[in-house]
Amino acid sequence: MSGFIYRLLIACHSSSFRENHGDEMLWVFGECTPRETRPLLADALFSLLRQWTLHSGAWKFLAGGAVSALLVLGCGYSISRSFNWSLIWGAQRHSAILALYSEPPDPAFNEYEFELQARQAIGMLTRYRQFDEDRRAVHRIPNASRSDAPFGRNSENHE
Amino acid sequence: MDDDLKSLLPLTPATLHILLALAAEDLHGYAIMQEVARQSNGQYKVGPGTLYENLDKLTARGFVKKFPPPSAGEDPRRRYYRLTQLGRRVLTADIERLKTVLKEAKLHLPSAATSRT
Repeated sequence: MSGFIYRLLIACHSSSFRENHGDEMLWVFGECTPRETRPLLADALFSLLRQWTLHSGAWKFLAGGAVSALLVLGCGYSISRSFNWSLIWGAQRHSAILALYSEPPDPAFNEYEFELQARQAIGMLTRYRQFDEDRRAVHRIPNASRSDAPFGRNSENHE
Repeated sequence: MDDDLKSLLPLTPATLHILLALAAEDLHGYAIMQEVARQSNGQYKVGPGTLYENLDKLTARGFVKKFPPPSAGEDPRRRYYRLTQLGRRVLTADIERLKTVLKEAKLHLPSAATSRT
């Protein structure tokens, strides 16, 4: 079972790494004692994560996603909870799509894409804030805090 | 120390141990792993994933050279690695850097000077 998992982890590495070192890594795995299999599996997993995040440049997109999520959380604080979640989901999906379908590592390209994504995230936030303001205007939602709103309604009913 | 070498320092623990393992002789991947464990009395172990990632980086930088097994009887999957002149210079420079660190440690941490290694 551990041998199968190890093969799977190696298969998930980049093709150049697999071609250069895959056979030798399997050979090393075969040489090791059963006690050493767990550290080897952990090592292969960390190596895989490093390659797919740091070395491929995908970390920039992940960082972009995290930053955009933080921006959304900060700017969308005053918006209703359900709307807030849709914003977060939208930003994350946007980042994930860009990360998955981005070109292979090319520093200049990635930096350009990163800047583009940051601009798009900020633009998206601006649009959503505008949309929220329009929504408030159409539905005539008072701009007062939530704790004040029921009190206001109740006072109207009493009248 | 050369200014061009300064930009390459300090070496990461994995890189330092790998270069140190290759300082004495040419080794294949598994032998490097064993040599690293031996040098550190088993306190630092490097796995194949980390090892080959680092070897790729070191080869790209010209610190290490890769070559096929020297004798025909060996497993063809094995690749041997050799420390280049540049790699040896970088390793020496980092060891010199570590010597000054150790000197400072001995000055400010008396327990470091008296402790057994």
